[in-house]
Amino acid sequence: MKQWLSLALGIVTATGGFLDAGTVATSGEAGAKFGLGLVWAVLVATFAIIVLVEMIGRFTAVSKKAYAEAIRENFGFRFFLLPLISEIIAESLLLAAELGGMAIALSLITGISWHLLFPVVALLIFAMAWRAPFDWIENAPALLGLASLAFVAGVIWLGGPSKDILPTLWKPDIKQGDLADYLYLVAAILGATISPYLLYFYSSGAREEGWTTRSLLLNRVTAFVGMGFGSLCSLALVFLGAMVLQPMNSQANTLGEIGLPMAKAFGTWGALLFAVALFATCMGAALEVVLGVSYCVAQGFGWEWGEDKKPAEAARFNLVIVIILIIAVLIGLIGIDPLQLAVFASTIIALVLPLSLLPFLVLMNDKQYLGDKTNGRFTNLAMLAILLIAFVVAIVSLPLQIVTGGG
Amino acid sequence: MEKSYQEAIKLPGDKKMNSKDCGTSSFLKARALSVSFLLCLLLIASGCQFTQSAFAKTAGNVGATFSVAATTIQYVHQGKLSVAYAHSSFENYQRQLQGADSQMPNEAGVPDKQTLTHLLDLYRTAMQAINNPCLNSTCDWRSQVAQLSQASKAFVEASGS
Repeated sequence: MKQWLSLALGIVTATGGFLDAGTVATSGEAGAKFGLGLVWAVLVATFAIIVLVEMIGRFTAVSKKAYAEAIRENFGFRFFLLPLISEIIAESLLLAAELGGMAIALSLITGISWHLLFPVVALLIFAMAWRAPFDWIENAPALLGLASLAFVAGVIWLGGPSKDILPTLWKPDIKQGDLADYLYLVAAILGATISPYLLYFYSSGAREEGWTTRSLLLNRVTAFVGMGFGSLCSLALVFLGAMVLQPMNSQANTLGEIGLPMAKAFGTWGALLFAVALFATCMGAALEVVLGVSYCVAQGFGWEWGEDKKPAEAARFNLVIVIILIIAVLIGLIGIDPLQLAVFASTIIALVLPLSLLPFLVLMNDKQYLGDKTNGRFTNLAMLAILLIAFVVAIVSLPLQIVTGGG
Repeated sequence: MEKSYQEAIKLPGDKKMNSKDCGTSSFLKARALSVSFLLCLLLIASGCQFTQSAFAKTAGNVGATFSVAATTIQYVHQGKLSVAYAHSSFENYQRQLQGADSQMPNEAGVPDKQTLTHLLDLYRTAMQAINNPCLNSTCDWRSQVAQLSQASKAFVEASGS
């Protein structure tokens, strides 16, 4: 019974953890600008994150080591600094976007300016990351995040895509001069979904929960079903954008716009559900980013770490939480729109993905860590494909960012 | 099977990759470099053709935001959207549209003077609705929707979309 409860919670966790400000922004924008022409990118990203999450869970359950610990141990401290520094830069930007997403969601509910709400949500995240037990952090936003399943209901309620939109699924409608925007969104979608913070968080979470080889089924179900559900919600946002936003010439430039299809489907309740889902997913992601970076730093430096430990018992781990939040708040105070910041952060993450993923290939084939649970041929090929995608995305993202002026 | 973590702390960078790992890394590195080089060439060669002019991009964004603003007002009066949601949305629309009138005349791809003047007139009228949206029954929301829709159509056409 306990095992089944764990399975259910794992699925719920992954459902809430998949979506964040980046995926909401890129999915909504993709649908509004290119109809169903970017559904393939969401599917590729989903495949990648399922494979990665399954691998990182398997690695942690079998080796009893968190990912950052293993990179540091296997490649040495100097090499570890590369993913660490790139992680801190990219995730600080993303954290600011997640806090902005939370503030905008609250603003859509209350009507109060999101600038005033920004420090409030930063304090909320600080309080939760500082004192809440790991179970709360994992399950509270995830349960609230189930509101995002309403996006799927919205697509059904509105009757699904029309015959005019459907062909864009296999033949994207890219107008002259829009190719740069299209490719930039491909990069952003991949960067938003394949986020390294998820690997650090998931791996450390598995350690916090004491996963063993008996947890491999739980891990596999979480990866496949949970991430599949998350992807379904993300795809629903693309469909809603294509069905409602594209005909009104919207470009989904603000997060509030992305909720309009839900208002069309279910009225004020639909808009409210969108805001709740946005708040919950951004809160879940903000907590995962804060803790992911803190785990990464603490494990890399060999400090005490653990969300279930009192702050005094893991003082330096908790200090990193404070510092990363301060950096994100300072970035947020510059006043950049959270949606633009989320898309930009996703591009930067895409750029640094190879640094985070390359060591993974080596670790997943190391029998010292994994015994007979090393990658098979399929998973190795999948991993190589992911690395290739990550690299292409990274190298395309930066010039496109300059050419398109930020998408 | 487990490795000593303390050992890693004391001896940073001590474990070397075996020759098979090095082979994989070198292969990836070489592959990655060739792909990046080709992509950079492609981007430099065709960069001017696959992106819109700065003016078209701004006009497209302005037109899109006006259109969404019109829908937001409509939804409020049809009972599909709360006033709080609309208030928050309009704060963001204002930020999106701010300064577009001073930006557009200086951008690459700007149309002739007559067209630009017409667009800027429409922009100023529509901005009155953006700055003071009619979200209750005491004002004429239909005329605001009409103004925003007219401006949106003109800007979207000017962007060439």
